Amino acid sequence: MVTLVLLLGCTADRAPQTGLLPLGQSALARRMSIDLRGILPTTEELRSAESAGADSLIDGWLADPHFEAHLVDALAEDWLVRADELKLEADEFGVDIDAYTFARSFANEPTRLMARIAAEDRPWTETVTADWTMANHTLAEILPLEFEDPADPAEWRVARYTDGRPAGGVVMTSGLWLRYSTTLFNYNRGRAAALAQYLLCVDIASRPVAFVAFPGTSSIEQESAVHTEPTCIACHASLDSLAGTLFGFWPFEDEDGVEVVRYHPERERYGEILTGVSPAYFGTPVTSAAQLGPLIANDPRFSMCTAQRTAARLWGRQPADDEYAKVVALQQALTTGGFSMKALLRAVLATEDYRVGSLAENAEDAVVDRTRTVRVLSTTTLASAVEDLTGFRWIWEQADELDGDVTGYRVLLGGADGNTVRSQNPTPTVSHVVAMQRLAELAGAYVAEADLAAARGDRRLIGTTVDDAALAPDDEALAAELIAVHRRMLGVTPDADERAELGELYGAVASTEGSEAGWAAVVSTLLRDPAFWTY
Amino acid sequence: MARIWVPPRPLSRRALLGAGGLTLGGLFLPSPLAAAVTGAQRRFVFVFCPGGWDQSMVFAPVFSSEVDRDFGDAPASAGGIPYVDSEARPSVRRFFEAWAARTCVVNGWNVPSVAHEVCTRLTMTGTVTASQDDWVSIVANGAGPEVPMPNVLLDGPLFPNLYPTASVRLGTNGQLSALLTGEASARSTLRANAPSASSEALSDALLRRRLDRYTQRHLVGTGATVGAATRIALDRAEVLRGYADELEYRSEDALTAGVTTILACFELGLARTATLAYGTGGNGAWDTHSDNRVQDTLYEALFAALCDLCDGLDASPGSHGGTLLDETCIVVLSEMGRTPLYNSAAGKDHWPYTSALFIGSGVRGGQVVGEYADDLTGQPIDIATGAPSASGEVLYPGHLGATILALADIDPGPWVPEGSGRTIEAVLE
Ligand code: HEC
Repeated sequence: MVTLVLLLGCTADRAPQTGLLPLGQSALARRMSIDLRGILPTTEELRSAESAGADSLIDGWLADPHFEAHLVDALAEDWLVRADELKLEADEFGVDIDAYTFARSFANEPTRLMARIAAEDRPWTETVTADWTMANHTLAEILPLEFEDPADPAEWRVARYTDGRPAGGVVMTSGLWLRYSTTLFNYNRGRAAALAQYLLCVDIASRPVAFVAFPGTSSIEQESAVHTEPTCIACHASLDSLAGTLFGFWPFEDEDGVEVVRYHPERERYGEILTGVSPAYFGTPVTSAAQLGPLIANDPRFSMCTAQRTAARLWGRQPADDEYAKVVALQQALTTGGFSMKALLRAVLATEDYRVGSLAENAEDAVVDRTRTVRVLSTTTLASAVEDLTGFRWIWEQADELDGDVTGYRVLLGGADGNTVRSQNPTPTVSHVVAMQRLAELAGAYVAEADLAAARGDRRLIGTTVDDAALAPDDEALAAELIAVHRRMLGVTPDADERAELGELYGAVASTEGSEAGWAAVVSTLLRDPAFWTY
Repeated sequence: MARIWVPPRPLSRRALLGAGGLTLGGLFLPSPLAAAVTGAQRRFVFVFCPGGWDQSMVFAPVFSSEVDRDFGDAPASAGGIPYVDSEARPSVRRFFEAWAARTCVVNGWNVPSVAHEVCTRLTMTGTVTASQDDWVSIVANGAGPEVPMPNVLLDGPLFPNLYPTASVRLGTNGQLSALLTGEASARSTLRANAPSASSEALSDALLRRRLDRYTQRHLVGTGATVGAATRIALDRAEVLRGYADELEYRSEDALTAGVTTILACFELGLARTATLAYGTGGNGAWDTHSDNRVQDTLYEALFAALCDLCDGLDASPGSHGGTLLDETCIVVLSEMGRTPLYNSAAGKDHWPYTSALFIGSGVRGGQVVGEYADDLTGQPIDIATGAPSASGEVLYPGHLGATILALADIDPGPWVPEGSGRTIEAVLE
């Protein structure tokens, strides 16, 4: 079998020993652009990928403003911070804003902070040590913080808390802890579990549970069992002491908004009184919450976890147990690069697991099983890619309908809501295809109307090769225009059959309903094609 | 080969669109011939109560000094099932008086955790790892491609792994229905012209041709899975388009809307299983760490809905001569229970022993399986008889899962690891 594949012309750099065959340059550029910027490559970028290789585009894309915007979305999907329902609502704070804007303002505080650190190429350790955060107007109205530059016109700006909380990056954001809130009987345990999971990849909740009878007949006895029963201690020794470091965020009244979102420096040791557990970081005593950030930053699990989560996001799957060495290599790329997220991203983009486009016949079953040869656009990436292409974003009553589920379509499109759906569904379902259809129809009609009315230089998608895009079905210029639209949307030139089919669709619709409807039909059909929403 | 998704035989449109309009595969549609259903033909409704219900308020008539309860609580019994009665929850009495003979209460099973997320995953899958499908997805996947919605998912937790396409989500605000009809397109701040019917038809046809091409270009790997799943999804969507009104579900209309939707889906043969949750959001409405009396309202609504569901299923003809209830098993679960004693906020905290309900087809009704001691800890039982037995087994999520799978004629072996639970034979008819 191996010889056969070699005879078929696999060169050594195609690594036939693993069975992963790489994407071509333009498809690779499309994947990289989506993963780094959340938008498709332009036609010119595709052209330079074909001539100079996709790698030549990486530096420019890492410096693109879309890089930061996309990372906000991608991290939000990874950390499941964009829950529709938070423990508290806007009216608790006496501010008059809609529920969506309120919830997403808090949700995006930690991811905005992380994305800014990556965009400015500051050391990633700052995500847990920074003495600043990111805030918008809504947060500034609610939280005890001040903008660094009040005159800055940007929606999200650097801000500093004024309630005496120590430096600690995302660990010291009210946004994170409103999402991962605690109850008066939970003692910050859920928060500690989230912290361990997202920053250290220590999933305390998924440790095997011993199937033994549970001790104690009241929550009080349970609390004591937590410290005495070996089965409980296995998880709770580290969990509860870590929870103990977060008592500056402990509300005395957990329905009181201001109590919940403020930091209370004087309560840092209060957990000890409540639970009898001294704050500690996996065995290291913590006497002040200011120690927490540096302890995390210096923990090798932090850099390892950053590498693992980034790889998982870009490979479209979790690294398997036997891929430890690959993740260690990525961790080294991060640390030796001065904890540069951009250095880590470059390293992940260089892996063959990232570049894989198909599988050789000799690929081992385990490799076939785990490899994602194509990825499906996540809901937020779908939203940003469609907006970039067509100008259309599906907003309804302030809410981004691809980023929520109250009236929106996030879980129907395979996204996670952080509540009943905790991971993305990588496989299209009925609700995916019908939501894609309506999104495609809206976006297609929207861009057709806009582009046909716009001057040639101002068009987004349609009419880039002609002055007047209202083409008659038999116009000779139609073929070139269809090619340009297809190439921009799918990253490849259509073959003759595809071109003919698209021409027929355009002709049939345009001849009865006009060219705007014709173009709407073409664009919406291409948006519904899996060749568009997979990459 | 990739085991990400096991594609069932592709839908044949002819099988779906019979002469003179739509008839579905037949498996889940009424038929005049009488016969008992097999597990493979059985339908299921899963009702999930997130947050942890207080088992002492209904299922555990333990009146001991170790259990705090409201003055209104009184022991009662109907049709062989002892339960807790209260004026605050009249529908509980109504339910047991009407349906005890078809109901089996499982008492005292052990989750064994008191963290919501862990308990929910355990309850639905029997494990804490992400690589195991939930019971619903496993059962639904057995429905076969004739069924447009193997599982119709109104709301609730789900942990699909091998079977990510087994469930069809309706959205909790009428979303799927609005997408199917196109009404969703009007709910956009940026307006755009809707396509004409003929343009939509041409676009649909071209999409299918392009999908063929996508499939040819992706013969292996993830692309092949995506292509096959897209085709099935398009076929299913085409069928469901004719039923958009029936699929309009809004969770704010509470359980009543859910019951109506489920009944319609079953009567029309659109789904094999249905999943409904009552009280989602945050940790769940049942998470009454303060003011435990909130559960009066929750239980009242839940049991009123169970009455409606049973009445509705019982009034509809099944596929095999009896009623839909004869072919449908209703499973009602919560991820944990609540402590026997009140805390300082008149609430009750997390408790790893809890109860479950099995109602209807395949269930040996009129009985309670399992037992609580005076302190509301679950006691080991003989799983063949359901009676407490010192030498018996403590019930775990795996026991519930194995029992659900057994009711569907699915071998629990591959899904419930040895030692983590066995079929509770006593529950089965
Ligand atoms: C597999 C790891 C694990 C084991 C073993 C474990 N726990 Fe936990 N426990 C957790 C996690 C994680 C949380 C926090 C979950 C959250 O809030 O999201 C938690 C939360 C709790 C809580 C707070 C519940 C609340 O939110 O009100 C109590 C009480 C508790 N555990 C008791 C115990 C006892 C008693 C034992 C031993 C019988 C035990 N746990 C064993 C992981 C574990």
